[in-house]
Amino acid sequence: MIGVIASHELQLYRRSAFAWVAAAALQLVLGWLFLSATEQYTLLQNTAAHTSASGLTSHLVVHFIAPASIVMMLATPLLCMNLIALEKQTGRYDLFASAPVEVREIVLGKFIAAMVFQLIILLLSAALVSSLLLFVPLDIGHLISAYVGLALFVALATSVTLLFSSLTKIPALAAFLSFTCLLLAWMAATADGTGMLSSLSPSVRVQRFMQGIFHTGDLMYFICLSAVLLVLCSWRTGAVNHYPEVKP
Amino acid sequence: MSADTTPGLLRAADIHVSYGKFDAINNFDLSLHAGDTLGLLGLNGAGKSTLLRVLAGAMAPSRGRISVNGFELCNDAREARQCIGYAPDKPPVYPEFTVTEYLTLAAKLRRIAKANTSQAVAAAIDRCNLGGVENRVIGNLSHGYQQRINLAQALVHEPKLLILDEPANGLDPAQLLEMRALVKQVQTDQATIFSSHLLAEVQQVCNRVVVVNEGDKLLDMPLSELRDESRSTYELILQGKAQSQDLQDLPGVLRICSVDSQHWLVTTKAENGTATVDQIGEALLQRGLQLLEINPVRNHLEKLFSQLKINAGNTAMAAGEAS
Repeated sequence: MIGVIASHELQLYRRSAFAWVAAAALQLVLGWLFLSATEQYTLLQNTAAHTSASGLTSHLVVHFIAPASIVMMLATPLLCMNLIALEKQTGRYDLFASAPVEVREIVLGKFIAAMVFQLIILLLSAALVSSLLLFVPLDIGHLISAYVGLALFVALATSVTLLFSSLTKIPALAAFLSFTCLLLAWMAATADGTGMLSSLSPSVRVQRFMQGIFHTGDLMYFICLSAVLLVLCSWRTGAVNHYPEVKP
Repeated sequence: MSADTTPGLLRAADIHVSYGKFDAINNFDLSLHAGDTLGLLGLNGAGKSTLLRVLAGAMAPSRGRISVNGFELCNDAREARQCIGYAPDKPPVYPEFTVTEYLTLAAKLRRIAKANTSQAVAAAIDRCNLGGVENRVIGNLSHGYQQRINLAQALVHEPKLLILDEPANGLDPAQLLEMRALVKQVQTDQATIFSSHLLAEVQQVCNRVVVVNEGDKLLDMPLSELRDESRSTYELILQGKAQSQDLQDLPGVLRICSVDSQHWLVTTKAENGTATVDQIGEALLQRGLQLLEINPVRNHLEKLFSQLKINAGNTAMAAGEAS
């Protein structure tokens, strides 16, 4: 059933003009970031050959992949705001609520579809980086680590948006609240990355992935936090049609 | 998890729905048997849609229990929902999908086996006269077609219990006739609940009627009673306010129905005639209730409904004056 719902949501993305426009705009922004990063690197090489300019991989991670996570912080709420809020607003949620489907199947199906759609966008940006492999060697491990960090952050942002989407019937409000929440969490980290707020903030952990440091604690942070948010979302969505227990 | 052996297809007991301090449904009991076509009548805002959403499993009541075909909605939700086909008042359609794609989704959500999906979709298309538009995008179809698609999604898995919330909305006269014919096609092992605010609609389609007002069940009776010559119904207008228990055991009375605390409809056996009327008057006096008027009623559904409309009008006027 999760597959049915996920494929249905992907069909909706495929047919939504907004999703196409958002995906195109994202490609434009990511493409521009990529071009400016490569151009900047070329200029650095030409003008200051003697300086200790970092390698191309690190340069791309710092000037292209890391800023992409900020872009996705804004894009994910916009791409996922409709997932539950619009269904409730239009009354289409009744189709699912009255069907023999578990709430967690609905939430997981929608989460998977949103992730697939966003990962396609990220893979296209990865294709830009891969195109450089034809001409220069790159540190593949470092790039994979950076992209894993980015994907995990997108998963977290999707879970946050799904939760807010289940709390309101107004998609724009869900997007605004999700973005605000993600931004505050991102900015909660202190400069030196220590303290409780920093340990709760995703920015420090994304940064470690961007540095090529693969820490299982960071992986578990994203997986556990996303799972908790999805459980909360299921609980909230199901609260509407969760029948009171009947004692036999 | 086991299906019980009682013949009732739907049993809802003590259903109560409240939104904060507002009670949308009050202690509602309802049972439905195979072959029943129940008309749920009520003015706009009476609580019909809320009740139907609860019965369809799309919304949980604040308290109460519902079993469908022997399966409790709380404990065996999947099995119970498998037996329900629900068409909400607002068609839950995706305008960007074609009719076939949408019904295929509905069939998959109702867990129809993959091998039988296209057959079930074709049957629903055929039954709801959607042939010819099955490959068209829903957003380009009229509201009437969207209502039929709504009906088709509810029928696609051939449910035991069909719940239709105002299915006649937005239909032209020809489509209305088709829809009525469709609802009348209910098989002997199925039951239908059909909500409407149109009395004539219910009288033409259903064999039983329930009248709802402000979340309360005012009347529950087979429509055959309206044509039953052996019963007479009277409208009682009292000077003071009365509770239902005050009129519960009046002599010769088979059924009482309250429009408000001063207006009551009582059904008696016809053969007793004026004797019963006199007895009722006396009994009311003994209970300290003064009878202002007693009028014979030909169709107490019509009477009940028109009185509800008058009351709603008075309430609206009072609210207007207050503001």
